[in-house]
Amino acid sequence: MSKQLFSKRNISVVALLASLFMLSACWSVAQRDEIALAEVVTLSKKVMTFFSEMQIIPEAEREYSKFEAQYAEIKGDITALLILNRARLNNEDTVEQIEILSGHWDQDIKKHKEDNKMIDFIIQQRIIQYSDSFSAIILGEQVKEAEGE
Amino acid sequence: MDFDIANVLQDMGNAMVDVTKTDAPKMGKYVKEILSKRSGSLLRLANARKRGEIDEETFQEELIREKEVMKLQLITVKIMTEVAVQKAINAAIDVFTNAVKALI
Repeated sequence: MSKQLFSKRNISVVALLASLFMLSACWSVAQRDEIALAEVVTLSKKVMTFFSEMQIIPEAEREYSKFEAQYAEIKGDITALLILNRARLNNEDTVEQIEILSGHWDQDIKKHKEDNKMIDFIIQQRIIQYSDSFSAIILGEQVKEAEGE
Repeated sequence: MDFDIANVLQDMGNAMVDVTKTDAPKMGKYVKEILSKRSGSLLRLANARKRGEIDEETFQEELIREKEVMKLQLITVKIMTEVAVQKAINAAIDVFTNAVKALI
């Protein structure tokens, strides 16, 4: 009887089930947050509009001071998004994405301030890179399961 | 009614495979999209340097930026993988739980 109970096969089955239950308990990805998702979409529109408007202005007139207020406003929005996402459980990956985005925004402010100019090529690169970055963050949020799913 | 562990395990495995079958192609498609977008961006960058539109310092800064954008995009692939694994584990446990419930 005990020989049958402790057979290799039974032990393997129990070990497999125990591993699955343990994995399900500790392997956890944040649930989808519709508010955080909406915030990213709003911020992406703001950033895209910022660079599209900058692109229309002639290159010689793109002094940093003209954009300082908008840079600061968007920086505030990115920080708020970071705070919102840091408060969510098991959300380290999205937080890392927003930290990268925040670092890029800081670099853009610093570079524009130092050079006091912005060439068309860099604006075009920023439109593409921010568009790709926001799309990645949005997709990352969309694939997460909603509560009760 | 007997609890046929062999069948239950097979059903659990099938449930995990079904989840993976649905999610894996989406991940593959997105990875291809990342590579295509980043290579397009790097090509534009190389051409701008060739034309003298940007200096060496800017070129190097932009290369680092491209790497970081790619890292940000790949984190999404990591999230997709983690969600798929979580769904697969949950699907397997659901099968097991339902099999046990059927016995009671």
